[in-house]
Amino acid sequence: MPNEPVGVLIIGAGASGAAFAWSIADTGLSVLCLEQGPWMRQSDYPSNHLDWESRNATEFSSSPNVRRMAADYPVNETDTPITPLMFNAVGGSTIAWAAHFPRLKPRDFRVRSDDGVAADWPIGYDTLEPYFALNDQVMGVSGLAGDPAYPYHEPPLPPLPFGAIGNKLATGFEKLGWHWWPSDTAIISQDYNDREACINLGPCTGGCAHGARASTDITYWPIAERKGVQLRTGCRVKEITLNADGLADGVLYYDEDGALQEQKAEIVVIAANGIGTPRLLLNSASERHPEGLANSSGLVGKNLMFHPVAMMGGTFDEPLEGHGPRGCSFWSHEFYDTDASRGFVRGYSLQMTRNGGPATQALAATARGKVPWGPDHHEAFAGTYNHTASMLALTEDLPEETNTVTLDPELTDSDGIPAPKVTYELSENTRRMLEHATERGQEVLRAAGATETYSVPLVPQAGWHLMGTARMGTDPKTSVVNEWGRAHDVKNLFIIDGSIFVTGGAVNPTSTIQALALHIADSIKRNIGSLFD
Amino acid sequence: MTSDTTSPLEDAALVTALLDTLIPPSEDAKLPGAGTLGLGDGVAAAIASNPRIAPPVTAALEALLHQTPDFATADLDTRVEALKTIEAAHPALIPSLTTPLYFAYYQHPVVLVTLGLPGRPPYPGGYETDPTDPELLDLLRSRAKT
Repeated sequence: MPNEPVGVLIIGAGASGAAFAWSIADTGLSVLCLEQGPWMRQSDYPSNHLDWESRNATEFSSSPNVRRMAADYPVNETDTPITPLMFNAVGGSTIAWAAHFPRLKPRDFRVRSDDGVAADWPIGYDTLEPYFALNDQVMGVSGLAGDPAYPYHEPPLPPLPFGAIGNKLATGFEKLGWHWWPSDTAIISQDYNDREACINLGPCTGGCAHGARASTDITYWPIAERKGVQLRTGCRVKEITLNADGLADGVLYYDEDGALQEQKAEIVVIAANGIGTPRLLLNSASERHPEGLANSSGLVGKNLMFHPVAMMGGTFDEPLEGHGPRGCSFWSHEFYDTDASRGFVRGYSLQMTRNGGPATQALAATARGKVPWGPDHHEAFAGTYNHTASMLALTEDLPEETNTVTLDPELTDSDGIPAPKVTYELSENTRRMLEHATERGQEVLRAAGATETYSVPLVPQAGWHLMGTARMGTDPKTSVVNEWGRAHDVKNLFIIDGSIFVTGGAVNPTSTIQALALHIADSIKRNIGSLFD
Repeated sequence: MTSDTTSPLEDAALVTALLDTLIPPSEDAKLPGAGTLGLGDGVAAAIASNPRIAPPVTAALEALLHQTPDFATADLDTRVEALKTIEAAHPALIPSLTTPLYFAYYQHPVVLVTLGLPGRPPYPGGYETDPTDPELLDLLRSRAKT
């Protein structure tokens, strides 16, 4: 039996797809979301098990190439020093994230105007501000109002406890007089909306068994489904189809039995992340769009941005227990904005992290040459276990057309759909930024009392943030979608995920991705009467 | 010593001695050796199931047995010296062993309890963590934008 046509068809049930679905349901149109992954169960997450650390590294790895769930598609990562990371399930990558929740800053939207590089966004912070606030309420965000680095905003919940590591590192920032502030984090510090407060399970990136860390399967989806949104899992979209007028009229997808299905819709919305979205557009090439759907600019799949990450750590004499959310306890934007004397444009944020479990700490210390095998093993491990503190530098990655997502000529997923290939190279600007960050990070660790410091100048397993591959703008020659996410080439096709970022700032993108999705949903509501004119 | 047709990874005595060499008992005997803790089967299975590391590990262990046939029954000092020699010729051996070994050892409840952790999964008990230093919070509030 053919699938009933719907008003709005969303591809992807992750951070943006869920927020958009909840909002667009207000139109009264029928709304259907197709998700290639399954619903996850909190009882399956690693922290239910003694061997949670090894499960985090294997079956719940953030890399689809390691995890290899049935719903995952492979990514050719042979030509990138940074491994692309994602999770394919209801909730998308919010299933396997640390829930660090900073917003982009006002200046991040006008990089060309202020710094003479990259391009400006067609919208600004003010456009997104009401959606940031709304999204904070739905996701459940903890933080401290009044960060001088941001326009004033009030997180709905008080900040999470720093723990011993955060308290220790903060003293270093105080000594140096550097900016620091408790993170906005999508983890609830108090009971909130039928969810119980965080109990410091720690391995947030393997899924939160307690439900304190937000993921859209437990935040947006329950309230979206109550509004009547349908969510169909195990559906892997092969291509977007067009009608004779050149409008998107639905998709072809493989259901969980591998059967090809057709789904018709009046509006098609892509929420498949910065790799999945260009992959789908390129796989939707046709006679009318030989270079890929919505690709008259030639920019689909180009300008891929990560946030290249450096890690800096220090060893301390006193014990520093590390329980608590693995993500940021506080951040510093001391080096966020351009300072020409540093030798690079734009900047980076510093994010304090907490320690992993004993196995992770043993392996990390071994990699640094600090814990040998043999008779000295125990004494050396005792000297490093819970005696280290570390931070990450998240650098702004300016868009480069040579950093791309393309279709691999040979690699496919289990349904035979061509898989993406990522080609990426660090720019000289980023290299200088990473070098600066490793030096400054170690400086503040020493100021906090570290007796020894170390760094990883580029963390390979850090491609969490996938941005820029279908960017927004007002000029169809230099962008893929307009200022409210509508494809320049196909007026009933929308893109709402990180693909549409023009620049990436130096903060985690999920808060901004979701605010954009809510902004686009509201824009469609406002323009619904003239959408097809 | 193993037969020609048996992988050294299937030699329980060898694997136990090998793991007890990599992580011997602590001097105060509070922490057991990794082999004595019974981790051999799991570590050997993890290596054997990984086609990237199984062949070089097997080759290195065969070389170890050829060099020191009584490795499984030798004392710790002898085993350490034997393994160091093999490590020099087979640099991939130790990293291939330590990843599955450290995961197994440092997730074992006996080891967790000795390290001062509860010998249970994180959920549902969770953990306590230090609150934010109130003086630090006061400092921040004095600087807060309004």
